[in-house]
Amino acid sequence: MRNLLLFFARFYSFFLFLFFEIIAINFIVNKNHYQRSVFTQTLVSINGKISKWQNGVNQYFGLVKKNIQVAEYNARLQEELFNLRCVRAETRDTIRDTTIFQTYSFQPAKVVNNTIYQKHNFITIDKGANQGVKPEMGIIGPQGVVGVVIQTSPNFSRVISLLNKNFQVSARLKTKNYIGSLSWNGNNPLYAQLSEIARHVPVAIGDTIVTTGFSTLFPEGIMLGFVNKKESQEGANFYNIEVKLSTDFSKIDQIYIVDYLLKEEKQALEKEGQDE
Amino acid sequence: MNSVLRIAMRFIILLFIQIVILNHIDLHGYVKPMIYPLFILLLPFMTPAWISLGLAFGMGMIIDGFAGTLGFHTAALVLTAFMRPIIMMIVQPHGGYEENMQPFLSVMGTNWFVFCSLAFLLLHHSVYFFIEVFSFDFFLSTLATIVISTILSLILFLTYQFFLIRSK
Repeated sequence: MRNLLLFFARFYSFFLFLFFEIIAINFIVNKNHYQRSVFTQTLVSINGKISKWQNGVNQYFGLVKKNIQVAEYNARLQEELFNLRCVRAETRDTIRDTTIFQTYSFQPAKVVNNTIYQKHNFITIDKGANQGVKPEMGIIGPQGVVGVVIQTSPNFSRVISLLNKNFQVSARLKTKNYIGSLSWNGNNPLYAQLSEIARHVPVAIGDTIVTTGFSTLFPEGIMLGFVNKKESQEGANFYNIEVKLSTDFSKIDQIYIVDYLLKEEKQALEKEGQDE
Repeated sequence: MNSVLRIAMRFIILLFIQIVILNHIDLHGYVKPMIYPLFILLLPFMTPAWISLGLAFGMGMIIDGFAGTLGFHTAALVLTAFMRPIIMMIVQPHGGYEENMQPFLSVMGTNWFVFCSLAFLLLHHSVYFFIEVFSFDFFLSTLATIVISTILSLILFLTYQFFLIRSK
């Protein structure tokens, strides 16, 4: 102990110097926009490179399961396509036919880094600004919503996971159209919490929860999960609903980046309305 | 005059020159002459490290606050203050420093003062401009900026010292 103190006393100027420099560097990377963005971008791309290498090794072990998943997803798409064709055939001559416009574009990508056991989880994917990915694009997987892009580097993007306490998405009961807000309380990566559903709403265990399409992040009707438990406190106006997430975040791998092509038009219109 | 008071006066004068005049000189957006590192150079030889480091930190923060570049000047000046004893040792005259010596142009002579200033300025400006660019991609142009700024700052240092000799 005495030796340690002597050591510090002897080189105190060096430690004082380190202390001041750490404060200064902290200011540099936190308070200056340009320096901050260079710093975080470097971190993101280093992180992405390491994880990509690591993932290349891990990928071989789950190929069978992944094939099955892809096949299932394909099947569902086929089904949807078929349904849409039917709808088109029925409404071809009416004005309501809007299916000829492409409103969403999907781009496949792979997850190269993912955490689920922290309070604020993030995902790194292997597509970035060079592939046209921008912040505020939604990310969905074969089983439903995964997250939203928050930051991009040339070849990687950082995604805020649904399993993040800061993440919130508007949701509704699929069959009943009541609207609420889905978020995650930071505890169990299998369950999320649905709030703002009023008590008069007839919620049943097992009801499907899907996205609303109000925000520009996700199309309407993307799967979020199923009602697992509902409870309401004495005197409260709203239910506390626990939702079993349809996506298993410990296994996500193949995901799709959603780009809403009419985003700017919609935001411009809504902003115009606010100004008045 | 009391030596502490003189140092305090110098602190204020150099800060004033830097903030009011030099911060607004921006030749082609790249070259930035600076005079405030002179304060650290002119501290007495036997200044304890905690005083010079503390003064460097405080001065850097004040200038950063006025220039809107939080941390740049501070990081550069604190490093310079830390390296001060080492630079002084490298450029020391034959027979070492004597007790009543002060690191002034009039006391130590032109050669010593110019060498010492160059070492200070090269170190300080290298740190500052690399932090400003924050990448090694533009290495040559950053290097040019450092060299030209160092020359301009050296001229400022010498002018300040000559001015003092004249006024005595």
